[in-house]
Amino acid sequence: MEGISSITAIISYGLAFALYTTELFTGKGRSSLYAHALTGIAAFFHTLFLILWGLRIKACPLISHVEAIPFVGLVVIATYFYVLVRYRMLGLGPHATFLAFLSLFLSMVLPKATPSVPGLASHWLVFHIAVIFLSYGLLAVAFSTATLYLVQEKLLKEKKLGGIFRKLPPLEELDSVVYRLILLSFPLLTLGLLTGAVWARQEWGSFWTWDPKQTWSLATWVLYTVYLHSRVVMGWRGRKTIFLVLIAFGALLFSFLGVNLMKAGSHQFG
Amino acid sequence: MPILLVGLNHRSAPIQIREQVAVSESDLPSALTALSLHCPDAEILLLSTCNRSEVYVAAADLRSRREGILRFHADFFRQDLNLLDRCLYQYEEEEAVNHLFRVTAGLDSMVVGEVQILGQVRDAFQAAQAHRRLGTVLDHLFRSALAAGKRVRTETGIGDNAPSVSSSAVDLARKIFGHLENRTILVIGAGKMSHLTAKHLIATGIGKVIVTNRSAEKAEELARKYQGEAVEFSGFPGILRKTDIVITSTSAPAPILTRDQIKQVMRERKNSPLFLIDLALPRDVDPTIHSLENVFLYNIDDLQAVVDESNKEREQEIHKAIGIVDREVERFLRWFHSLEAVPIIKALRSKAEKIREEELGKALARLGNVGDREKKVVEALSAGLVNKILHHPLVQLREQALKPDGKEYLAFVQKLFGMDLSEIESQAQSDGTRRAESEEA
Repeated sequence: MEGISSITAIISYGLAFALYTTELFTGKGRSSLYAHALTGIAAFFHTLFLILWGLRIKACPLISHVEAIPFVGLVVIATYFYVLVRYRMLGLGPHATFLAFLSLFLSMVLPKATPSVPGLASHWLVFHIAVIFLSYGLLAVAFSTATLYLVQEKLLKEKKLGGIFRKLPPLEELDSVVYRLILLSFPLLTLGLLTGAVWARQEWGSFWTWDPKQTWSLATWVLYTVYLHSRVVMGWRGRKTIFLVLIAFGALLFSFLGVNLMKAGSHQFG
Repeated sequence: MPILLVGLNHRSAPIQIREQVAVSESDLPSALTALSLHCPDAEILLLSTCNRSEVYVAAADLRSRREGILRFHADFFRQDLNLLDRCLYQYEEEEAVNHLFRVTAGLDSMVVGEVQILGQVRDAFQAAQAHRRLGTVLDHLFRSALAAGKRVRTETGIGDNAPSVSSSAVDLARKIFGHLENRTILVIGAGKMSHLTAKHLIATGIGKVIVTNRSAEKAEELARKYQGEAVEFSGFPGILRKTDIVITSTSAPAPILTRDQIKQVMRERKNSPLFLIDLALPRDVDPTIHSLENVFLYNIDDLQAVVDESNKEREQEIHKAIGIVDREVERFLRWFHSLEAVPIIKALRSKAEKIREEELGKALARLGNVGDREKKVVEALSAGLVNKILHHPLVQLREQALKPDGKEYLAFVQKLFGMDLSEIESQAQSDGTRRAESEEA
């Protein structure tokens, strides 16, 4: 049942992605409505999959990275729908469905974690991971929106105002959504960092061990803080702030995935 | 096929003639009455807009109808027939259907893709309905035409306004800023194009308008017109700090906005986006400014290129619209051709036969082990029932089909017996092949 849910979700995401992408590059079809419907269906099965998984292993499916990835994918989709409805932000369809597709695909392909390492069932840990991954999902959508901003800006500068330009949202609205998503995720990111430190104290005896993961997470946090500072306190706009978003997301990716590939430090648990 | 259309439009007749035969909404009922006197025993409809005046007639025989319509025009509008005759066009049967569908979709209008025509056709239809001289044919024709027109409106972009330089500037502004309510626009100089654009922007709800001009009185005058603010020309670069959109067209021989000025302004604006529309020739704004971050400078050529691009897309949309219209016309014609007596009679018979066989089968099954004689009796009963019940209706059908309102009758019978097009068409087809075979023999 779990497998079926996962596969249904993956196929739906794939189809939605195809529809969104063709609609972006060609005429005035109504295919985006079908794409929305497909994404909704996929999201439903995606959620079902996570629930069934959790029920099967009798724990919250957030302990290992392999399990966390589809959760992040779901947050991305949820954020996508929120942004679509609240800000009428079109054009994020391809990104969102691609990320969700990837998240489920990876969870099927990567080796599953060995059942819970003892001591990892701490409430602090689960809370820490949930909060961090919620923020990651939001920041992934912020990143996608930032790339759209750069596309629009380039088209405006090159005066290529054809089909795609018209389909994408206005420049300022894109900038605004990037800002709001980062603002929204910032307390979560901060909280995640803090609860991580608390749990680290519980597990390893000290709040901060400067292991790669903690270090890079801090770097990520700092970069987003710099963005918010320059945007809010200093009032800056434009490409430079958007580049900051891209760099910050790069740091995020590294702290999320890259560090694990290095397999060093106390954050390793399979 | 009894549909006739006689009329004139903006291409066939000059405005002096068109205005002579225009019928206002309030005069429509009396016009229809006059028309019905000259066209008795027929379905009639009158469509009169600023672009066209057309008479639609559906009747069993069309031979004398054209004269009737002409006499109506001569009488009702007191017009010289010779003058009118030269401007009138006439379409019959499929061509008339095609014409109406195109008209309703906005493809025949002066401004292709205009959507007003849809409402106008609907009004003409309703007026004709109220006049009670509408029958099956014109009723279905106009309903189908209106449905097709609606499809074209929702499925294609031909209803979108034809682009102009000023509308493109407004669209661009929206694409940069999103909502314009909190934005400020600065209009420099008094060029006609720039004020047209400014008016456009104001119409879409811009927040604040600032005007500047070398002549202070001109600036004041314009500021009053726009309910905005006038500023001194000498001090205007400073005001750029607070404006988001700048439209300029002065007669200055050299740029009045330089790169250094704008660089400074952007620093003060913290790089908030700035949209410069330079409509002057020679240009008012140093073109290298476009490369500055978050500054978007568009001159008149750039905007014209946007217009050309949009026009290309409109071509595509018109193409799409024609495709939709063609398909809808085909659909209507299929229905129309199905209104022939012989295929309907055959379809009715075969439908009845099918029911008879079904029920017979059920009855025989229930009877079980029964002798041949009994079986034959039951079969004869079922056949006799069907034939006797259908006999009178079919005779009537054949007779009525030949009368003027025959199509009406046939359409009603179709509905009454729940026959769908495919049943009737397959009968018509097999009829055709059988006829061909017998001709070969």
